Amino acid sequence: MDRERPNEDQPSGEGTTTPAAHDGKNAAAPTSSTAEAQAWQAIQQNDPGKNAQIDIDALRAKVAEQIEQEDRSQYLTADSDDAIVTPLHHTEIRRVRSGRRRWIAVAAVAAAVATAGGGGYAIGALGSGDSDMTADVRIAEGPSEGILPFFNGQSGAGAGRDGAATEQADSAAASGPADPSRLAASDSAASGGGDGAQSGADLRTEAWNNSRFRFTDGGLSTVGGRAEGWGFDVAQVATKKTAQRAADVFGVEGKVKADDWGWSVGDGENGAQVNVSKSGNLSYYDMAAYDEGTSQAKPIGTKKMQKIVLGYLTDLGIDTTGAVFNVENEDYGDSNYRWISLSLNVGGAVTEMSWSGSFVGDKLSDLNGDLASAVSLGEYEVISPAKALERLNDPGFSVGRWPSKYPTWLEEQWNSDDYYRTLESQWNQVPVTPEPGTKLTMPIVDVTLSRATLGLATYYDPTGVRLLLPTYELSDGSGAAWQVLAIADAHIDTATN
Amino acid sequence: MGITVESATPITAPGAPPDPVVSSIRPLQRDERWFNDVFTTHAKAIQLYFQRRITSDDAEDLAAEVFVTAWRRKETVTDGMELAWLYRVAGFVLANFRRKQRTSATEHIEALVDRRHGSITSPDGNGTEPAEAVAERDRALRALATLSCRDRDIIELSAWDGLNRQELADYLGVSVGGADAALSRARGRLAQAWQRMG
Repeated sequence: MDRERPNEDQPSGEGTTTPAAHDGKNAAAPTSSTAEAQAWQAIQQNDPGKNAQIDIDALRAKVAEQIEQEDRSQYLTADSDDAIVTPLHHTEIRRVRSGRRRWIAVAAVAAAVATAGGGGYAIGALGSGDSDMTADVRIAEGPSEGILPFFNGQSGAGAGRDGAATEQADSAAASGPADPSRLAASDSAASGGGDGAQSGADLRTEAWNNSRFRFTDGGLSTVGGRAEGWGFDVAQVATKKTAQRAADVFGVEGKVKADDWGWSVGDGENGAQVNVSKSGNLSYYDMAAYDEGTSQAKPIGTKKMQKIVLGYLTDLGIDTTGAVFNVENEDYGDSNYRWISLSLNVGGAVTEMSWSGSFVGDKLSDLNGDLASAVSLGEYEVISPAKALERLNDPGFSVGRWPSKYPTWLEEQWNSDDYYRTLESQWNQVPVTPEPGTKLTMPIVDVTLSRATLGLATYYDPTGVRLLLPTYELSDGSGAAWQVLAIADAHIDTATN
Repeated sequence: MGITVESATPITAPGAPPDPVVSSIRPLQRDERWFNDVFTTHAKAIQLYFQRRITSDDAEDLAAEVFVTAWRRKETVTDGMELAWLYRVAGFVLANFRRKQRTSATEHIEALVDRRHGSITSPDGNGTEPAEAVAERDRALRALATLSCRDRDIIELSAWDGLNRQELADYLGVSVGGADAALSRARGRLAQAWQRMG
């Protein structure tokens, strides 16, 4: 089999380190790089668009026609029954603070407005990563109410929605203004011709973009301890029986059908279907609910939505103690579509395990999440934060490369339109011809880690078993942080045979 | 094309004090020439995006919808981010289309798997493929179908639509390093799914 085609613009993955082990979630390398290369190549080679015929002129004609049609109808007055009302001044745009996410948000609203009946969905999908648009609602407070931090590399809300989703860069709370001298350095770089790329600000950004770090101890504790780990009893729920029970809960009729992926009940074409996968994931959807729901004028109320979802989860045997609802609080205008998600609490940490569902009117149209209950693996010996830092410098653990949080100054840079304009002007320069004895410029950031927070994070073993294990988040006070597996060496099996 | 130049519409609620962040959007020179450039450069990519993801003949209509939106909301398209903007709008248009069609991403992938006589890999065009190639394609697509929506989105955009690191980063709204990490994770999960189906 050929090696994958080299393409310097494509993100790397050619078997240097095991790619899936770049972040704290997969510190023990779970898959071989051969499998990863094979799978990737198989996907690349089976591009459904490979032999597609595109008629650009026909597309252009369609675009022109649609624009003209809309132009014509714009001449109708606001009093006319046929007038198109475009809420361009909608509050969603005002509320988004960060510049970078602002344009994404605005694009979403633009698309929502332009596509009939789409308003609610687009804004709901934006719910992840933008705290103004969603509110955390805690329910059923148990003895430990999410005191333990849970480290995830993705936002829980909106993570499972179809269509475009925002990858959250785990921004720390912005504290302090952007350093004006930094942006000024970029500006002078723009006018400095070929020297631009060598300015201090750009070198630091260059190092961050390539994740080149040298970590030193800034006074981390040398005391370890013990902490609980968790696994999931998937085998107990990934069964035909569960699929049958779930069908009963949702009122789906039919016999349970088994296939390679799991079990399903119902045909789903015109009615409802329940799927239980071998990984213990449940997916329910009801086509008929769209019909019934769309004929109703109003969207469902928040409390009613929560009540219905909790009811189903309880019937399904899910423990919702200490879970947190994530509910969008935007005004959806004409749409009666609403979306809700619930993050479950395991061992005192509100995790990324979530259930999410959609309502059309007051009908539940889909619901999905994991059925497996968490099982305690008992207490693990936990290394000290100082020892965790050693793991950051240990390539075997492969955790030093990708931060889980980025420094405030870098986040601000992403959000700065000026920064991108400066970059753009730099990209279009003729490169400088190097002189004899030229050094390779390879900026490396010196990071001094001084703080450690112990929490839980998700790990997968080579067979797909999911574990929540004690994990440190080490930070340097700039907003940047790295996650490191905290369980002692004795609890890690690094054998390759 | 007969389009008149529109002035940018102020994006604030009537009567409300202007939000300092939003009012810093200067009306840029977005005219027919700008639009023509954007269309010429990206039309094929956007239509292919849809062609890869739906089994009906609506790809052209959906692509048209994306460009009509680009014209209507041109003041929201940031310089240098046109492609990412278009892909994001395409994502929303696709999601709406699927809801209305009552179909899902995984159903579409199943349809790809079932498509024995399609034009995906048969070089001679008459629908015959070696059994191994078919089996490998099925395995790859089934593995893809088990991923989360986000992972699938990232993999498809990179493997099929050919987004490079910067484009993926722009699309996701993160740094290049963040995009690399996201793709790495997605590829790792794809590999795990692939192995489970081996």
